[in-house]
Amino acid sequence: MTDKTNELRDYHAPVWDEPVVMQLGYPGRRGQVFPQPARATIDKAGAASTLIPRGLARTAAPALPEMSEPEVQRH
Amino acid sequence: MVMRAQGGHPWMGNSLPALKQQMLDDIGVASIGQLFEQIPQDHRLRLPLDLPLGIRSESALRRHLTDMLAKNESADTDLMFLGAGCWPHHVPAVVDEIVGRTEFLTPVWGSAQSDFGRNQAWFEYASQLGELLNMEVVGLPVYSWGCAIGHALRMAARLTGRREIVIAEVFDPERLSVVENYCEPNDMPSHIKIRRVKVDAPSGLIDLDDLRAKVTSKTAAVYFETPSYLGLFETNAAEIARIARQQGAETIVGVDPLTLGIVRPPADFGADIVVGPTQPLGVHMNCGGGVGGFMASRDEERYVREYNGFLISITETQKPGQFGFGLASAHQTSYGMRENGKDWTGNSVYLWAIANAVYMSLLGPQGFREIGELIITQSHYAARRLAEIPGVTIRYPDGFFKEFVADFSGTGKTVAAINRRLRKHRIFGGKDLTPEGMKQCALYCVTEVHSVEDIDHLTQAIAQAVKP
Repeated sequence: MTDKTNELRDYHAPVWDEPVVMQLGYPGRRGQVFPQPARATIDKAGAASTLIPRGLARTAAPALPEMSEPEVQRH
Repeated sequence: MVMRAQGGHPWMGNSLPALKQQMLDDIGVASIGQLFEQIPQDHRLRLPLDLPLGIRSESALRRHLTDMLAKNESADTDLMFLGAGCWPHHVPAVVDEIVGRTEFLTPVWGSAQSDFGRNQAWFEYASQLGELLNMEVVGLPVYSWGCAIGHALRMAARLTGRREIVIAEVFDPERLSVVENYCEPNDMPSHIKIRRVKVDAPSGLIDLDDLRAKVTSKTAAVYFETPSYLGLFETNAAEIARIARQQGAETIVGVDPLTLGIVRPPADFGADIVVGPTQPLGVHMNCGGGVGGFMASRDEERYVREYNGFLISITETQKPGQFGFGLASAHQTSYGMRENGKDWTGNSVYLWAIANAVYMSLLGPQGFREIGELIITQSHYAARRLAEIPGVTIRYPDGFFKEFVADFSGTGKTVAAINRRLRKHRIFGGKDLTPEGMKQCALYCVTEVHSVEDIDHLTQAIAQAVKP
């Protein structure tokens, strides 16, 4: 009989064969869509790019996953 | 509606008289009162209490509660332009669906046996927020933005061995009271002195000359926000960080994460520790809850060793390709070291961290850009429209995100009176800043939940309210 007492056991908690969210998605996919700013707002206030103070605009988009709504739900 | 007690109670199967008697008979006791004999007579409640009886019928209880709740005037039924720490934002349906799952909502906290995917969800909260912030280490969120500031300030004091911090003169009073709580009382050996830096009147931004005077070799940290309490992007962020660094102080920056699809994160301007609110990331405006605060830093040991809260980490298991998740810093928290821990670990908002993770996955880079563009355009539209009303001016007409200061002093009406009039139009006006020293000014908040029609309706209602 092998010595089971000192044997390293497998992780006991429930485990899933589920990748981390950063490994999921596909470029261009979306899980949430917001409306474009209305024409009236741009006519009066200007486009968003003109409202961000100089030098503050984000140039490199955050590397977040790009997922559809059902993908997020299933994950 | 009150239902008389009758028969069994729906939650207590043994409340039937015959069963109660059987239990008393079994233990040989004549009455229930006998079981309470050890409690002196004058310590016992005089029953029955002068209260209406409980409602046992679920259908009647539901009706009772919905009738009461229907009396509320809320942000769901009315038009609301209040922000200042808890903001009206859209919560995607999938967020509610996922945080309502019993795997997340009801398991007992803390043990591996109660991890039904929660540790992975927390890790994904941290890794996604890290991408948004451009920082490598993100702790699990704490009770509020104010708490996150307090912890970060104390962290800076431990890192530098200094006991002074510098914050702006204009500061959210609620966050300030929390910060003071973390720094004081002054007779505590480890208290931190709070120095206030002036705000430049025309721009609303931190006065750099005064900052240079206030930041010294005693300063542990400079803390500022972008957008600030009054909604303004701090355009001198890089210079502020440089001034702090020159004196060996840490730069701590508070940021609204919803800005980060369109503006650069504070790390790009030299922030050492970044904090902010988590409520905008998919959490409803709950009464007495829902807010939370995040904390992030670079992955440098000197910072990581000072986190008072939990860090969640990922590692490979013995099985190739499999990941395991666990709390990486428990030993340095007050759970692991009691009074020798790094600050008090305190309570957290772990369920909302999962809401935040879902929210960030749903939005992705495009969603964050879109929501940022929509908010900044609509808020500026609102400011421009309000400025058309005679007597109304916008204190800082440019360079804000979702909140701006409308000054009504030229109308001859008080903000309190205007807001009362707006209630007749089922509108909640902006936060009255008069008690905070900005007489007849109000902090207005416009987000993605508002429409152009809403803003036009607000403008017309204010125009009516300020008419002589």
